[in-house]
Amino acid sequence: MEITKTVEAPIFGEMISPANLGGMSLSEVKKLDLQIGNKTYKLDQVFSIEELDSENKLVLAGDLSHVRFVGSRMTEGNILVEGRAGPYLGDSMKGGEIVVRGDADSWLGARMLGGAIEVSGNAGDFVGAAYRGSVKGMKRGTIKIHGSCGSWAGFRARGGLIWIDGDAGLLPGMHMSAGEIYVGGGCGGMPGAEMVGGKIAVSGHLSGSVLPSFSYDKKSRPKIGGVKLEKKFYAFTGDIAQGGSGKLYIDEEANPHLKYLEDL
Amino acid sequence: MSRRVYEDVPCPFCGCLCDDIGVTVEDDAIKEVRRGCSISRSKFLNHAQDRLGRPMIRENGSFVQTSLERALERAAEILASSQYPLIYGWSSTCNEAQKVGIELAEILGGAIDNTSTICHGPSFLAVQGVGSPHATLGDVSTKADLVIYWGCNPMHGHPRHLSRYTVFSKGYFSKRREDRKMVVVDVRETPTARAADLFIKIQPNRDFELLSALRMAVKDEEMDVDSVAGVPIEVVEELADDMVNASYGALFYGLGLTMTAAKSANIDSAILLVRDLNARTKFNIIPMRGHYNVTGCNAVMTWQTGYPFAVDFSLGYPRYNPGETSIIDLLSRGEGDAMLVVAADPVSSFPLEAVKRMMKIPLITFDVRPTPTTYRSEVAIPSAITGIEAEGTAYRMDGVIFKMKKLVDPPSGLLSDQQALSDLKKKVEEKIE
Amino acid sequence: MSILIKNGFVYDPANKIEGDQMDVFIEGSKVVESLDNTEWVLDANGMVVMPGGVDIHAHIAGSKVNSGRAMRPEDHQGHHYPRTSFTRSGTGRSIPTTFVTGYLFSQMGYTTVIEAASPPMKSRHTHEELDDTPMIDKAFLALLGNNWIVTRLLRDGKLEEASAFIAWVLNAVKGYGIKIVNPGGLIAWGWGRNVSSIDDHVPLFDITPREILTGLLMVNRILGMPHTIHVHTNNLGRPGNYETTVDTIKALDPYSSSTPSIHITHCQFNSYGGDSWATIRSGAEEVAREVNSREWVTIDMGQLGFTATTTMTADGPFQYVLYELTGAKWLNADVESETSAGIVPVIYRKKNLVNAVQWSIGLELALLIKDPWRLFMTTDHPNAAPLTYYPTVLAWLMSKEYREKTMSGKFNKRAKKRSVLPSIDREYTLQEIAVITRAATARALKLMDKGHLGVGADGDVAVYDINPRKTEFSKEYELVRKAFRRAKYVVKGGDIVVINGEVVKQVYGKTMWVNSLTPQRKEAAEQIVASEFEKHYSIKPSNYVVEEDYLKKPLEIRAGGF
Repeated sequence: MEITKTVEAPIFGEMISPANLGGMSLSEVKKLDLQIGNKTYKLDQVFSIEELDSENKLVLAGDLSHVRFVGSRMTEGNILVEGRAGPYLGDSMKGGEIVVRGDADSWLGARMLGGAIEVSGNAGDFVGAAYRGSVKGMKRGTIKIHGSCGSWAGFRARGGLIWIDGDAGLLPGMHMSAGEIYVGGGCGGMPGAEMVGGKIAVSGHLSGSVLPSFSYDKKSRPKIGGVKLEKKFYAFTGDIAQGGSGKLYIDEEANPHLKYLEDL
Repeated sequence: MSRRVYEDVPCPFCGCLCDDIGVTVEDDAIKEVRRGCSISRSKFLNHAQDRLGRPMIRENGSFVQTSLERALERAAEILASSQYPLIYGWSSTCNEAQKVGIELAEILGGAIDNTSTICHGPSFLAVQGVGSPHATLGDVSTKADLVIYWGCNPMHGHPRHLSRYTVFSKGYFSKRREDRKMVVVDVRETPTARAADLFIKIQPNRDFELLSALRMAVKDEEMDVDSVAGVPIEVVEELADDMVNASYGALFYGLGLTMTAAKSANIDSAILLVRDLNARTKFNIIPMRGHYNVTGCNAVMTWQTGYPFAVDFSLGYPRYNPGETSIIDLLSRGEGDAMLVVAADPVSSFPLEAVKRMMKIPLITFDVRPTPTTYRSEVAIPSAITGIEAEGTAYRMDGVIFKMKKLVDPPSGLLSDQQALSDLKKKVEEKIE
Repeated sequence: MSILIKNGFVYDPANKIEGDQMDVFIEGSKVVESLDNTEWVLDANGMVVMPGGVDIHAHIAGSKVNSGRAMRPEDHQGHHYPRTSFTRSGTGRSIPTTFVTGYLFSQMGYTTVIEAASPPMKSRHTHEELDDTPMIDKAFLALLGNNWIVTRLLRDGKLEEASAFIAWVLNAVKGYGIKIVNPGGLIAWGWGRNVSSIDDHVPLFDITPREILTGLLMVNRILGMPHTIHVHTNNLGRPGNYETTVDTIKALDPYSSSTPSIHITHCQFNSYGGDSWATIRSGAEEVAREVNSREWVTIDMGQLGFTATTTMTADGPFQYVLYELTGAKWLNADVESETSAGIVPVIYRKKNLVNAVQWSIGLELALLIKDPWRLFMTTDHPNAAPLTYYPTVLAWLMSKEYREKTMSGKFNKRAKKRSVLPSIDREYTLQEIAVITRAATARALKLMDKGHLGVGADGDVAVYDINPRKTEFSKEYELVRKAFRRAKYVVKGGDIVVINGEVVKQVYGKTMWVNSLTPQRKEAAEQIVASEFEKHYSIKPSNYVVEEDYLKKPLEIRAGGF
């Protein structure tokens, strides 16, 4: 499916998931209602739709940056997004796989319950996060981002794995209670704020200090995402302000400003 | 000469909403203002100056005066034909006008937001996460022996806050200044900081760390560091002691917390700190709301839609998720093809990306004075000033409610926002049919 | 408009009509004897016809309710109500937005709802929300049990002055009655403390909760208020607190009369035995015994539903304890010199011992209290359950089998031994249901034109699609739930507003308030205001007053002592 319409309004794409569309005939799919701002269109007025792949696979092309909720609640099948994805990609998904060739927006894999997401480019804020006011962040599943992501990755995560090859912004793992977050690059600041459980590893440079509510344990080589990391990390427990026992690992080499810990 | 004297006038300027203002009107002009701060006096005395005198519309590239009827017609055309109109503003007008705005957004299937989005929105996000211990301002005045101002400068932004509600107020027990301790936490020494018993200078964008450290100290937990955010650990521990030993503490905070680095996380931590303190003593946290009725807009939006700001009506019912539905995010994603602004100046206050987008879409503005936003508008409609020229309901920063008074008539032909927006709504409804 | 509600089985307990098949006539906004011509006929053949529901205690409007909405965006998710050409949109499950709240009540056949607790200082906010709540007539009870000015006058034995001042407050804020929450406890909460019994010492004032209660009971009488004092007793939510409830009732024995003198609200939350959460048991029998033997006591249930909901009360210290127990987010909102508020989300689970016992207690109270005219059905919406649980509560009351079904499966087995509910066979009749949901509540509020279908009553009628002659209520409880969830027809003030469970017309009702401010009381009150107000409040008395024309449709009711 390729988006053909240029819009200046939100597009609500929650019907776009393999099991959902796969269960219908092509003509049924084309006639589905699609809301854009205050107007309702038929799906084929906005997307040019070819025959669906028999392997329960959806290929989406074009600039999807306005399309929200693609793959929301999906349970099986594959989605390939060839360009830019919009917000809430894979929100509450339970199974299946989503691959994004370009960048993803915010709330990627929010409230995830299973399955896998992979993004070639960057992602926005709130990867794997809970909805406002809710404690139910990502619980199961894997989100892999080859680029960088914004702030609040893993906000209120309760499980699962977020793997970021590039940098993370501020506050990854805030209010996390379980699960794992790996940041291959640098972190903008305050990883693990308010966390009570789970694991975060920052493999690059941490801007600023580790929060004073984390206590330094020792140096170690953490295991995260099933992989034992090669380098040495400073290991911390926290967030003690929350009575937490989460584990935070900050790379030794990339963070000379943390060397003082060795003298404690 | 005719003379009217008004007492107990609520002031339509800042979130203090002082209601002890006295105003004398002679021959329908405001002649004297008693007890207001200098900003208040200026607002009352100069209300008739510098006004957006007549409705304006853009015709053939220039901005021309027109009748209200024509201006409203043009505005209604723009809104009724848009696919995703954005409605914004609201902080300096009354609840009754805001209600019309919400209904308009609902009818149009667009989005509505208020100035919380650039101000205390993060406070709401934090409250939604962790709740909040709160009180009305008179409670603070009566009981507080410790008052903390963090990331705000009331001497400038809320001039009578200290004398009406905190360290210079008397309250039920007639407390004196020396009965209370005032602490200021800020990145620079402001006039408020100079009036404090303790000024803690914090490195910019490191408030979250200091709040974490205070939480640790309040819980008597050890920390591995000598200083946090540029503040020596002994100072942190002393402040924590002050907080725990207070019989009643109040923490007031402003944009220094909501709009720096960690944003809503700062408020999250501040609320959790105050919550932790409630296990040991009585402590409350109150946001310093800027405009006199932004709190009202949050309240009205909440009871009508369920959400305090950033509401999208595309699907016919309210949706809320700041970061997606907030107006700056919508503009930054290139979403929105028309914009109605009431009682706000986003061209001045929004980030550049959002303003650039605004410049590409038709703007309709209701305001009292010419602003950069009115200058960029397709349609500009002059408003009567709520609280001076028109009645209406407004909410103080702590949620206490006032009926704003009408003291004098507005300049001729000017309607209240409520009336003008109702007329606009009627026209939009007719066009949509 | 003239409406004939034809041939239904009418349940009008106030007029001693129990299931007679008869017509009801409405002309204009009132019930009339007969009609000359009929514009509308609602065919109620085979259905139940009752006066519109009168809910005596729900939290639907005001600062605390709105703070609850603001802090729970996640609770609104998935509960969306799109706009239609004549209804407004909204959201919400346990704390619906105002327009939706009105529609939901109306769909269940309710036509009058009392907002249970408004802080006088913030009552203008309550009125704004009530005015945005369509479909129902409404009123609110003003929180006065911890008011500093009142408490000091009571301590000084100045009953006449206290009465004058309270009359002034109710007149100023347009309230309907005197609400008392944790008397004295909220004054203590101003410094993070509480009171632990009705004879405990209240800080700042040399007074006890007992003295506040008895003082306010006498003020209520002096003013001739239509409703009794409406009391949320001390120690709410604490194991063993049934004793406090019994103490509260007994404290008023010296002041008893033949007519109601005290209403104890959401009594379930105040009827716990045991001495810890582990040993919690029902104290409903003890409480019911005291209520049964005193015709001047009324109570309402506060029935639990096994669901997620939001607790919100003025009982600040209790809400703090609940936060400590659950670790959930906690909002507190103290109001200077008057009261407090606390909000904490909760989930009530069948398998949880405490929740299962709480659930049992509400039903026990209803089933053990013999006189249905003194026992009202509520869920203390949203505290024990959202308003959408009302039909379920009715089904539990009417069907032992449904109660047993609920007590099976995941239901905590130990809980069954902590109450006598399993042994109770009583099942409410339809007439009794009509009493506890409309006739008795209207009477308790002295709303003379509500809760019945006699000539001159307000044209507020609900028709439920269930046939009392063909339904075995004790077995067909699902039909009860279905019928009462979506009324077949609802008439409000002479307008047909609901058909087949859907709102077909949006109307706005009246806000009723009680005026007891005689000229003499006004003079006395103004002196008190002049000397006391400024040091207690950060707002001027003239701005504290809500003018009557601020309300969209005010209805002034003169108190008896006028």
